Amino acid sequence: MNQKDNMKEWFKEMGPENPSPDFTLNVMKRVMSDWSINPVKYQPIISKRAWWTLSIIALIITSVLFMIHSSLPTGSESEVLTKSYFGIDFIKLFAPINQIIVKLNNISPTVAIGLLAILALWFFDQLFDKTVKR
Amino acid sequence: MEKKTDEYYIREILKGDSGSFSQLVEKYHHLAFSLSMKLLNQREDAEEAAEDAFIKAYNSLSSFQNGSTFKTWFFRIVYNTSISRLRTRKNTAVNIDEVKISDSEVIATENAVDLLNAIDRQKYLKIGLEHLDYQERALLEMYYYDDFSMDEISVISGFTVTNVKVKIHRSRKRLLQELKVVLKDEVISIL
Repeated sequence: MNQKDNMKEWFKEMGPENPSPDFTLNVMKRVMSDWSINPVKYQPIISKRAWWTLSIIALIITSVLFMIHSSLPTGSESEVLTKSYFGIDFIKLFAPINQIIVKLNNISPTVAIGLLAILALWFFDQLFDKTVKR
Repeated sequence: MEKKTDEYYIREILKGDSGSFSQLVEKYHHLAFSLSMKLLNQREDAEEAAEDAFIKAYNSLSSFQNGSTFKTWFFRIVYNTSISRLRTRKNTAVNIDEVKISDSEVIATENAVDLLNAIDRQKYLKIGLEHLDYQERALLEMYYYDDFSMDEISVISGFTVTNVKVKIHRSRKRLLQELKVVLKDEVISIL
């Protein structure tokens, strides 16, 4: 056995110093008191400001689409009337949007709710994932 | 119960489970206290320093990176906390006396210590260690008891690896020199 091993053996033989029996308890008391003063705060992934901005944008889009939809002529009327401002035919321009709105109106409530539920589930899944990874 | 890795507990703590920190405290409190005891050589001070080190580690866990092990990272905190506490004392001089023990005396002392029974050996070793300065005691403890490599001790203490090697070699000789004095009348003389 070489000299280094001898010394190692002697040190191991001495063993570690023992702190008081309630050492762990004291440390944890301090940790928990620190924690109670500054608990872990979860920051929302989407801030309040972002929610407001999104809501306003959604409201504007809905209102615009609603106004366009109600101003567009339907059936044979649309073939007769044309609206042109600054050389742009808005009737033709918004016709595809109008068709989408009409199609959306035709979706049954069950399918719509189902789609919304899937979207909501996906959103909460992403939200939960991000919170855990943080 | 299955033992989880340090990294597992760190992840749990960072997720908000502060209770997981008790696992790390339980695992390292003896070693942390031993090191601060070697540096401070005073029970109450050492216990407070070890406690402070745990709190500091808890508060800066988010800055712990897996580049080094948690043990090395945490021991650096224990070392620095104890040294800071030590600096508030007046007598913190590091021993720069020359080591006056020949190679043959080193071997004779080692053989003598080896012949002692375990209880006596521990007693004399403790006396010998008390005659060393805080730095020498801490380096020997980290190298011989905690099994840290020279590189890891360099990270913990802030000395260069070469410096650590020189210091450990010197501390080892100093310890044997002290043991030679302590054992002189009792063991070496009867060999």
